[in-house]
Amino acid sequence: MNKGQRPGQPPWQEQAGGGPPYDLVREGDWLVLCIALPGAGPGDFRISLVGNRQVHIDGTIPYRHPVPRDGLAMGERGYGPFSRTISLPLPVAAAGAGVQFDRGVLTARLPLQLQRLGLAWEGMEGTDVASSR
Amino acid sequence: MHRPDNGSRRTGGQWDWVSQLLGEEIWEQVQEGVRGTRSAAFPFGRSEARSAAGSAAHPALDLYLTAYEVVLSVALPGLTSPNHVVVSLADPLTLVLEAYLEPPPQQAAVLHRERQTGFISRTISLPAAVRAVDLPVRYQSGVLELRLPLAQPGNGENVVSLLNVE
Repeated sequence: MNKGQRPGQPPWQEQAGGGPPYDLVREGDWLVLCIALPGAGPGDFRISLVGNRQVHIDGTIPYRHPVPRDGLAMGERGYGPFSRTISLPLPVAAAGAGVQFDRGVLTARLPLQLQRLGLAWEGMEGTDVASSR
Repeated sequence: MHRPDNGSRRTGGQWDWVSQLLGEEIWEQVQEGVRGTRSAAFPFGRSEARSAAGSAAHPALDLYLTAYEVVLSVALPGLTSPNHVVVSLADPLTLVLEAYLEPPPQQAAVLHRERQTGFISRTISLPAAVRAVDLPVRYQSGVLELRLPLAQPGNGENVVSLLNVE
């Protein structure tokens, strides 16, 4: 066990976000959320969309080594229960959302709920707007 | 003004010549640089064992001894190819683990970033000497498991054996 690490508590609980680390990117009309859950199986967590601006994930990382935790010469990986609520910067829809879990990474593809507005160009420097219509 | 510390100024005033030469703003720039280094997200270049969140080593690993092996269990979520892992022995007690985890695609706009991606390098001091042989490797659920044969199997005092109760 590392010094400073509380037994039974995933190290990410000490991070500012208090949960498994995630990346959030926008790919066109989709938000793609990637959450690192190394050591978890597909049945070890639940992910849900709360309203259209929050994703909640909770679950447990199971301890699977054949030796007890006290017997580890080094123990840095996180085990035990976790939960995290992620606020999305843009609204998304549950319909059409897809979730995959592969190689310890949970990937959720969430369709953006944006109403695109038409732009009525009246002019643009260096461009003949009328002929480009 | 943010000078290195007041004690340094009191003892010899050795920092004052820097202010005179480069201006007082230099201290703000130095501190900004230090802040930037500490808060920088995991770069695409090589990184030593340090996470974006702060002090935790990366990649996180567990290590235990059996009667014949040192077993390493390394969290490497999102590993996409066996070619993206290199394991070397610097000596029988020092293992070097290098890996590459795919970053988000470049055409995507990154809105939030915490996961550790890019090149990772970590040097691990082993609790017992191991032999340099081809290693059985398993990768499952984002966890890489390496089993390194002990140089002198069976006599490790730190071995923990789980006994079954009948």
